[in-house]
Amino acid sequence: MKIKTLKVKGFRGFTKEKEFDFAPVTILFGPNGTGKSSTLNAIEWCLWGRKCVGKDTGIRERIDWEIKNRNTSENPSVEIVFDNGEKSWREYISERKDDAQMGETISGLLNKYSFNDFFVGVYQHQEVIRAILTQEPKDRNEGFDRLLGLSEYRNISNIINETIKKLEELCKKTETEISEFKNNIKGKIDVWTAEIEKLGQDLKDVKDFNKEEEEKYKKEILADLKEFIEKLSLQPSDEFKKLQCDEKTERFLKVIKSEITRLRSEMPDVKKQNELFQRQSKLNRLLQEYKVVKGALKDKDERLKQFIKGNGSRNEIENRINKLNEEISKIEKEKEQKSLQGSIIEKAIEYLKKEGIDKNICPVCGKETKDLLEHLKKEWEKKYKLQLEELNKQLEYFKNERKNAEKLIKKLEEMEEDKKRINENLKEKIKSIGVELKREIKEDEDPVVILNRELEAIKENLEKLSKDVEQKQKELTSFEEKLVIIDKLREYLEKIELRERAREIEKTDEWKKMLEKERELTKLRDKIFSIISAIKKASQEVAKTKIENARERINEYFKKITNHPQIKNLKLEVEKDSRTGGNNYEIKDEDGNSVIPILSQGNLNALALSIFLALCENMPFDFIMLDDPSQSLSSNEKKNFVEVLNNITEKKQVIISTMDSELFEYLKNLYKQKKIYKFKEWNPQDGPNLEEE
Amino acid sequence: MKDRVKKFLNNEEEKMLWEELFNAFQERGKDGIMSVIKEKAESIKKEFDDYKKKVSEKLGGGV
Repeated sequence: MKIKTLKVKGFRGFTKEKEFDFAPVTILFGPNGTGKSSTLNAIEWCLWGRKCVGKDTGIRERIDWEIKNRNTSENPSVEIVFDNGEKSWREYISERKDDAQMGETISGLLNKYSFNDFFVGVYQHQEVIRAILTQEPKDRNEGFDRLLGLSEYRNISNIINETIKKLEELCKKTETEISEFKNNIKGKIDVWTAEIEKLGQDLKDVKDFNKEEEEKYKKEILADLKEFIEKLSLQPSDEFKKLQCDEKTERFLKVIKSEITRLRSEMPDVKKQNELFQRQSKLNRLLQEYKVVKGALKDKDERLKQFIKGNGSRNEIENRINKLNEEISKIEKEKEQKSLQGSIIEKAIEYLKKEGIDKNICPVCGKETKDLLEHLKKEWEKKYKLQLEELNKQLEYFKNERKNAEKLIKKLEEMEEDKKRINENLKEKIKSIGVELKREIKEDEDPVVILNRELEAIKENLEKLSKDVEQKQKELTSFEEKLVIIDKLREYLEKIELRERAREIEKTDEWKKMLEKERELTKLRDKIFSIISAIKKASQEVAKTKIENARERINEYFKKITNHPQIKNLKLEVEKDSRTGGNNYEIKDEDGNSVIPILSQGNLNALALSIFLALCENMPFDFIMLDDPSQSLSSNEKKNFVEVLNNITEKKQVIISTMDSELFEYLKNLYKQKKIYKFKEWNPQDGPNLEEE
Repeated sequence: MKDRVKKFLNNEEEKMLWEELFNAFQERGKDGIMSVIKEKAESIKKEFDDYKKKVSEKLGGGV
């Protein structure tokens, strides 16, 4: 069944719809990036759909492969019509959905063969030849695997290998956890043993180390404490009332401890003692406060006395002020008189200045005087100006004196006020003491003496009480000591039990099941290792079979294409790669020597083509597709390759894509009817620009 | 491929696991294989942790 026509739209490099007619030989010729490979991919996708897309193909280049052309909104669709009239059609609906319709014959083939088989025997990808041409043995081995259709083996084995690393880490972690767990248990046993020994020493007075002994101690303390409470005429707490000896020891101890704490503070003697302490403290405070105020009053009184001694009494100061007032009034009067006379003379001087100087009769003394104006000036200065200055000085002095005396009066008033206030405070303190002692304190009584007497009485009472309280507290302390013994005995017995459990832990079901799970994890890891190994062995077996079946053909085609002078016969062999466990391909001559060192890039290219052409013969598809097959072929090799193709075209329809103009020229010489599509420039709006020959 | 690999496996358990992994790959690709192994390992580890916790509790915790 050969391909007759192909319609492609919206698929990868194709924007607008393009139609191809196929002949026994169809050549797609043009530079890189013009849509040749997209045409071959369209056939592949139409038949296989998303099986030929993505990482699960095992083909690196297919991981980010986009089906949809970005320059058209139309869904990608490809239609193939075969020479028997059957039609295959596929439309891309979404990332996860295609619509497809396959003819009956092609459907049968697609069900019988896998995408990998198609990949190996029908469609030679340019990436495979590139991989074979690499210098890296690892990549070349991968290339041969791909050429032989073993990508899926390699792919699955690699994926499982990725997870095995994590699984191994988990196994190691679990193993370490068990080992640490064992060490921890051993460490704990040692610690418990030391603790048991120490507790045993602390409990040397205990007769037997068992639960019965613990019970005995609990009964004793419960009875003793009840009796103690009754003796004090107190009521036990509700919790204590309900407490039984068979209560869990931790709770038993907690309730008893809380009851002892309550009793320590609620015993009647302790309450009385507390009351007396409080009264003692209050009276001491009142005594101190009284003493402080009393001292302040004494101090204030002393200062007042000193003040009066230094400045005189209030009456004396007031008399002094009165006298100063009189002096001031007298001087002010005199000053007024002098000022009046002085102003008359001033006016006379003004008059003389205005009227002339011939009137030489002195208006002051009435005598005729020569240079009266000058005379008057001197007289005025002598009699009035100087006298007024003297009077002003005196006036200022007396005023200052009066001001100072007034200040003293104010200060005296303040001091008297202070004393009065302190005195009031003292009376308040005496009143407070009276209230506290519940009696009146008379003026002739000394509060200090009264308070000290009372304090002495309290002290005597406290001393008496202290002995009783001490005795009862001692009894409570002895209860607490018993509690410590019970607690240590409990701890001792608990640790003994834990140690025994730890010693026997490996016999428990939980322990056994835990180890079983660890083994299960290791078993899972081992199973996965076995699976990886089985995949590699199966892959090797398939590779060997395929190579064996096609050995002669491979050798024949290789010799025809390369015409290598040093290699009479070529043998491709597969062995286990000692490092990875995968397939390692060796290319040897008839004597079994490796020929890789003498193979050129063109020879390797020829070998890849020979393997492909040899394998394709057994495939029931009647067409093959070759994508850029002559990457490194020499001119002669290209010519010879076309000769080999001439043989192939007898059985298969050949669709070949190339950018190599030399190969293109040779391909024109193929005997069969040919169809040539020349791919010109590609543009986003139209897709490939084709010219048909 | 499924049957070819089976030939090289040692027992039924390995064959069953391989079949599970292969089917997971067919259905969900790489993620399918990864999640089958991860789920199995995590489930065993969880059971291991549970038993370990029970043992620790028997010894009063803190071990």
